[in-house]
Amino acid sequence: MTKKAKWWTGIGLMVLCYALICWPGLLLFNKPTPIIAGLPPFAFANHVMVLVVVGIMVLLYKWGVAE
Amino acid sequence: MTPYWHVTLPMTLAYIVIALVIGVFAARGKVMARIETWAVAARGLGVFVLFFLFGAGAISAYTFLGAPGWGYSTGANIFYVTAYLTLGYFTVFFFAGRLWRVGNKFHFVTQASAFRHRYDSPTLGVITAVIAWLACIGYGITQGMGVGYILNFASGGLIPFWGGVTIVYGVMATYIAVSGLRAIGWTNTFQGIMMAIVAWIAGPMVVHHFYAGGFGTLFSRLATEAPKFLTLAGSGWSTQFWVTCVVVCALGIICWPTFWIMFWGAKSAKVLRRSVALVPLYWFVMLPMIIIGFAGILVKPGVIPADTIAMKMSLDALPLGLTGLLFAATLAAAMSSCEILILTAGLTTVVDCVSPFTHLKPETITKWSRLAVLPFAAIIGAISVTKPATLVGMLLMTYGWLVQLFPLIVGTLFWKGATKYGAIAGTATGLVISILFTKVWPNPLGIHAGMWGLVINAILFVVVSLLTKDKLPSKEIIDGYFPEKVEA
Repeated sequence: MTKKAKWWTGIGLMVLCYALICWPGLLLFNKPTPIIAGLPPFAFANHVMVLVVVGIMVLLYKWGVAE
Repeated sequence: MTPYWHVTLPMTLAYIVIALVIGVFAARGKVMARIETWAVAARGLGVFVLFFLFGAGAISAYTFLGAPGWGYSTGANIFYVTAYLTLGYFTVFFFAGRLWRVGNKFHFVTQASAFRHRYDSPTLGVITAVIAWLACIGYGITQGMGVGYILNFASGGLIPFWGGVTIVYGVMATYIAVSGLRAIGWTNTFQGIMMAIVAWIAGPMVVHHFYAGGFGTLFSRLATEAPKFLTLAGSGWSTQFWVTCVVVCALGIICWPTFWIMFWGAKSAKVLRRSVALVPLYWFVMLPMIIIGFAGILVKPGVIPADTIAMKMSLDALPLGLTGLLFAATLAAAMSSCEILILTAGLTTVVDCVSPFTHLKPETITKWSRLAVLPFAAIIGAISVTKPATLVGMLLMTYGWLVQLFPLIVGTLFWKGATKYGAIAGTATGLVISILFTKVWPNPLGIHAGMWGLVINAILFVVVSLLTKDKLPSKEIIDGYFPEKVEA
């Protein structure tokens, strides 16, 4: 894959994360119950996304995106 | 019974002394006569220090005081902090490598110098330096307010609000003037480790004290007795405000002039990218502190100001020794964010507003920059004493101003057709709109003021640049900003 294609794949993943953090957080998890792992759904989803984003960034780093 | 401050005050003061010693000794063995040695640690910081420089630098007084206060008074919308910080660093990931190479190639130490050079415009350098001041002073005030609250509380009222601000800002200005970014790197590492340990011990202990089953019991009770605090609609933010808030703040991170100085402190582009990829893990430090705020909703209603809820809850729930450590960690949070603001404000004044017009010698620039941190620490501290707004409210306003630099940054690194006329027209208009939509007509249609400014700014930036495409800087300057021409 060319550097340009890797770059745009990375940007696509970033835009997807922006969308995921904003919209599912609001539509699917914006409610008081159920309590998951001791947290309300909204807080739980936010912190899962932190791990997802770090995972994606580590993969992009290893893949040589945006060097 | 011994008053609590007999324990908490000495511990908090001991922390300040330790930070002072670490900060001053960070310069040991280094000659600070060169601006790059003082301002960007001779471009020599590794992943470990950078991780805490970014992590602890982002976790500030608003995390330990403002975020619990915001969670306590309004609820779930406080989680915008985790969201925007995480997305913000994802955005930074795409800029970091290029920015580091450009800084290394042209020996930049401030953001405004990069803009001045790329757009071949001293005027733009001054405009962006002014935005840097506004942002540094605005955000610095939130930290100053945090500092005032903490020392006032930790001393049982013995140290007045203004006294606490004076002590801490005096100490910070001293070690920054002596050791520059190295002081900030090493104090942030110490502060960052301390914050993480204390937050994850104190947070669960406070919650367990009031709710026998811990976090789960707390949120189950809230879901039954006060469910509005667990959803956005109930907590007073519309969907569009939450979304635009997250986007404005996330895009705003790369715009912080302070972060550019930290980026340029990295050993290499690779080291910088690795640190940026890992930093969001540090946001888990915020979670227990935010939950303390939620815990206060049912057991301590009516606390004013809300920003003091974490300290009040801790005093009731923790042994005094741990409360003292929590106060020290909260102070560490405020200081770790404020240090770089003071350095940036002083540095950019001399490098971007004085030097281009007076042609100072390099050693004079360093000397004046080191001295300039003292008046800026005094200015930020003095405004903090007036307590202009709540901590989170101030932060949101600052991001609205700062994000107006985003089109300029994209133009600098990714668009050869960007001109200084487009940059000045877009940035100035975006800034004015952002201020008007914050102060005069707050957030029209429930959309963050900064977003309105950003959209109009970006359109003007592109249109005016296209209309003035015959006024581009020289090809040699522009080519220097693109990867095929920028050497590692």
